[in-house]
Parts: sequence; structure tokens; C-alpha cells
Amino acid sequence: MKTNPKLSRPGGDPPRRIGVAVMDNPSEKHRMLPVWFFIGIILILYGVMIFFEGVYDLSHPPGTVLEDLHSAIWWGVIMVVVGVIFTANNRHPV
Amino acid sequence: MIPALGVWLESGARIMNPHPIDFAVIIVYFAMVLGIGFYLKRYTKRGEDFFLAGREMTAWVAGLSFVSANLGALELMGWAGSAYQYGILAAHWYWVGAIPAMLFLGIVMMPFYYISKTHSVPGYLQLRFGEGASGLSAFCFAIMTLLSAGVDMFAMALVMRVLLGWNLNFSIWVASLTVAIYVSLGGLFSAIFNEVVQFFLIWFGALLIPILGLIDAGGWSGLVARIQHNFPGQDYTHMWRVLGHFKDNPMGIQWTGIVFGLGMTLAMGYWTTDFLVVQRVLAAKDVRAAKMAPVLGSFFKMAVPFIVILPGLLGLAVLPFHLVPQSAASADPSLHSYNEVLPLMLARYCGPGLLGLGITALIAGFMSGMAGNISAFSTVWTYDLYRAFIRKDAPDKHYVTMGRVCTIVGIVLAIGAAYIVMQFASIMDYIQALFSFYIAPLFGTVLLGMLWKRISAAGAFWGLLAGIVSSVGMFIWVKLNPNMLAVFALSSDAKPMAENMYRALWSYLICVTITIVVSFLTKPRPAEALKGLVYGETELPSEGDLPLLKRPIFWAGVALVIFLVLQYIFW
Repeated sequence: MKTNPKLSRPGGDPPRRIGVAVMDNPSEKHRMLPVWFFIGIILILYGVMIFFEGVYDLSHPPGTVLEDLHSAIWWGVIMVVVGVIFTANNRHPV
Repeated sequence: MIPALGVWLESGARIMNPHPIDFAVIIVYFAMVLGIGFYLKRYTKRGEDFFLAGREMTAWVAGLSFVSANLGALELMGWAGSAYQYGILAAHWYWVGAIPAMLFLGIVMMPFYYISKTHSVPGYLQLRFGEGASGLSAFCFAIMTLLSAGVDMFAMALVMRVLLGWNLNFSIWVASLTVAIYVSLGGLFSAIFNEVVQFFLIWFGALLIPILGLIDAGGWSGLVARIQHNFPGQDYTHMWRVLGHFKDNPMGIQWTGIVFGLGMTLAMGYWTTDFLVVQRVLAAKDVRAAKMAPVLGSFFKMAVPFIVILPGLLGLAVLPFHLVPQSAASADPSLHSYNEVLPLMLARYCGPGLLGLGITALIAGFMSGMAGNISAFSTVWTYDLYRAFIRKDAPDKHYVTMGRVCTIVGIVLAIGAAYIVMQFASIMDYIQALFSFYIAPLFGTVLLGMLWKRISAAGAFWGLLAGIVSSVGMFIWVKLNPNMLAVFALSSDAKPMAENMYRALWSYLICVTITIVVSFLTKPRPAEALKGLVYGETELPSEGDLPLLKRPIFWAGVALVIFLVLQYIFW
């Protein structure tokens, strides 16, 4: 394949195509906390907030349709459980 | 592909009363995304990190980000409103208008994108055809991303004013500063991480509406019965049997428009060549993950109607009043328009806390839309315009710095676009239409380039240009003379909703025809220059040694079967 010498990297490397340039550096895998950890944290925070709001709503009904199902309580619990699973399984950098 | 919302946003009245805990939920979200940005900065040193998230995303992360990049707040509210207006027909945009295209991207096109090691779709065109078609598509894309980010900013500010009574300037500046900080710190890493977080927030924020709504309506059969009771004689719950003729459905469209215009042209163009979504898959860690990401994404995409279309249908069934077209709602402030169905359903079922979560999901949708556009703009500007035409051989660090600066500049330009839209709100829907002008022809150019080595650089450039010009021409022609819609859609019963489908189809066909004709009149590139870029000249990795459950083609088959079953169920 023809390549424009101007596009090659300085220092005598073989000519490369522009589109490949972003990949020029050999990959080094990062060790970082996976995104699932952050999702777990935010779900726990929201779950706790919503759960306690649901408990408060027991004595101060919000006036929504189907409020007797107390959706904030069980939705808060579900969020905390999912959040704990995500956080516990992804707490180490990979 | 988003229904018109501009007029509603301009005229809406506040429809929610948030509590302090709702604001606390919103503040936690802003703190979280900024925290993620600062955390990821230390991992974002090279061009590969900033522009391609290190190319180390798993199929799951890339797939969720791929779907999430398209799951903006305007999408959610707009299609919920369309579901109220048109019934389950709106789900075509999530199923036939997405699933075949996503599977096609994963199985057929992704290997070429990935093996060529390109950083963008214009980057692929540069490798395949040189600077003509690449420069044209990069220029169009850079303009579109900035305008889209501006529209997202403005739309978010308006939604926050309608929902919460917030000041427009406050919303624009807080949202754009937050996006500027976290994208300039972490590049595509930040954008992808926040998109995946947003995906979960949207599901947890919106899922209660269909669950509680179905309980309220008495299940699916109760929902259908209530709709028939509220709107006698109208069919809102079938997807295909009403598409035999333009007159048989409220969209004024026929099955050919849905299958060929939406499914095979617009959707293919959007899901396979719009760099905003494809960039997420290019960040995958290997070819298998890159193929798997859109396939996994297709499963989640198939589920989205549950939180978008179903709330619209539930609105038809359970709301004690009828929603009306925007023109009627504008004339009488006591009425609500179709576009308000999702916020209305949220307010109906969600008390304090849950309401904040729903609002946060909408904010997250807007912000990730902005971040996606800005990170894509930064990549296309830095590599496809700046590096290709202005400074070709700078060190990698220079381009990373350019990417960070470009993120800030892009945000400033997008804020400018937001204020222009604020002055001339009616152009908002036109800007959203701009993407459709070039996305269908671009699909023709990329597809022919990938599958046929005879296609020449001149053919690609002139075909793409002809496709874009013809699409813009048809759009203007119909605006000036609405009767032309009947000509383009081949029926006098066609309605405006059909226009996008048929315009895309014609512009795609024009692009393909011109590309082929000009290619036969000009010299193709030598075969050795096409290795890794074109079918027949690319060694595709074999998956024969993988167990069945790890093969993308197997899961694509499963997705296709589920897709067909859904069409059958709601036929």
C-alpha cells in the first residue's frame, strides 16, 4: 500500500496510515476500578435515600396512585441489594 | 429520529413538585459523574486512552454504552409521546428500526472497522478512499455533533424549566461545565463510564412506571381493554396489520416505508455509520468483544420499549383525561400534550425520592448525550480534520492536548449553538433533521466500500455528495411544496411521518447509483492497498475454535429469533 512519507512517525519507524496513528503506542492495560463498582456505589446511595423516604412516607403518604404498595420501600431495598452485589464483586481494580 | 418536541418545550407549564430529597438525588448524580471524571484522569494519558478509552472495554461495557449513547432524554419523552399518539407502531423505531442494523454492524461491518484499527468512521473512509469522502463526512459530522450538543443543552434546560421551574441559563451552564470537566479529564473513558451509569439510572428511574402502570391497568389484557374503552374503534396495540396502506394507521405510512426506509436505510445508516455510537464499539478490547458489543446491545435495545412505549400506551389506558396535539395544548393551558405523557406518568406513580430518580435519569440522558457528542467531536476534529489537514506528524501527547482543548472549545461552541436555538426555537427540530440528510447516503458509501473493492475514491466522494445534496433538496422541496411528499412516498395518503423514511431511501439509492457509475468510470485502488479494509482482501479471524456460547453469531441468531417472536406477538 502506498503511504505518504510525511505521515510516518519521526525516528525511522515504518510509514503508517493516519487512521492507525492513534494506535501507534503499544497498549498497556490499565488497572482501574471497573464501571460496575461506581454503579454499585450510586445504587446503594440512592437505594438508602429512597428507602428512608419510603419509611417516612408511611406516616406522610405522598398522594400518588398505588401509594399503598409503598413502592419506595421495596424499590429502595432492590437498589441497595443490586448495588451491594455490584460493589462487592467489583471492588478490586482489574 | 426523534419526534418534534421543540414547540412543546417552549410552551409547557410546570408539571411536577419536587421535594428536597429529589434535589439531593440530583446533587448526588452530579457529584458522582465529576468524581468518576477525576478518578479516570490518571488513566488518560495517551491518544488511545483519550479517544478510544484504551481499547480495553469488555463487550458488556461497550454494548451498554453503545445502546446508552442513543438513549437520551429527548428519545425517552419523544417516543413515549409518540406511543400515546400512534400506539405500539412507535415500537418499530426500537425493533425493526434498530435490531437488524445492530446485528448487521456486529456480524458484518465491525470486523472491518476493528481490523483496520481506525479510530472513527471518517477514519475508515480515509483509509479506504483517501481524503475526499473522509474530509466531507468528517466536516459534516463535526458540525452535526456541535449542533446536537447545543440542542441537548437547550432541550435539557427547557425540560428542567418545564418539570422543575429552573432558570434556563442555570441549567445550561451547570450541565455544560460538568460535561466539560469530566470529558476533558477522562476523554472517552469518562463518556463511556457515565453512559453505563446513565443506563442503570434510566432503568431504575423509569422501570417503576410500567410495573405500577400494569398493576393499575389490570395487566396487558386490562390495558388493551381500557384503551379500547377510552378510544373505541382505534387500534393502538398492533404493529404490522395496520401497515397495509397509508390510510390504515395514524402515522400515514405503509410497510414499505417501515421496512425499506426505516429498517434498511435510516436504521442501518444510524447504527452502522454514525460515529457517535460506533465509537463506543471501537473501544472494545478485541475483535470478538467488538462483534459481541452490538449483539449484546440489541437485547437491551429490544427491552427499551418496556420503559418508553409501554408508558405511552398506559397513558392511553389510565390517565383520566385525554392528551392532545401540541397546537391544542398551546391554545388551552389546561390541556396536556402527547409529549407530556412520560412526566405525567412519573408524577402519577412516583413520590418523593423516586421522582428525583426519574428526573435524574432524564438529566443523565441529556448530559451523556452532550458528552457523547463532545467526545466524538473531539476525536473527529483532532484526527480526521486537524491531523489529516493541518498538522500531520505531531507527537501523540500533542494530539491528547488538542483533544482536551477541543473538548472545552466544543462545549463553548455548543453553548453558543444552544443560545442560538434559544433565540430561534423553531430551528431545533430542523437541526435534529440534519443528521438524516447525510446518515443514509453515508451508509451507502461505507457499505459499498467495505464489500466491493471495485469502488473508487472518486465514486465514493461524488456518490456521498450526491446523496447528501439530493436529501437536502428533497427536504427543501417538500417544505416549499408539501404536495411533493406524495411524489416521494408514491402515495397521496402519505403523512409527514413517512417523509424521513422515503427521503432516506431515495438519497441512499441515489448515493449507491452515483457511486457505482462513477467507480466504473474511474480507476479503483490496487488490491494490495485494500488489505484489512474490504471483503475479499481481509483475513477475518475464525471463531471455529470458540464454544458455541461465546460466538457472536450464535447470540445474533438468538436476538434475531426474539426479535421475530416479538413481531409475531404484536403483529
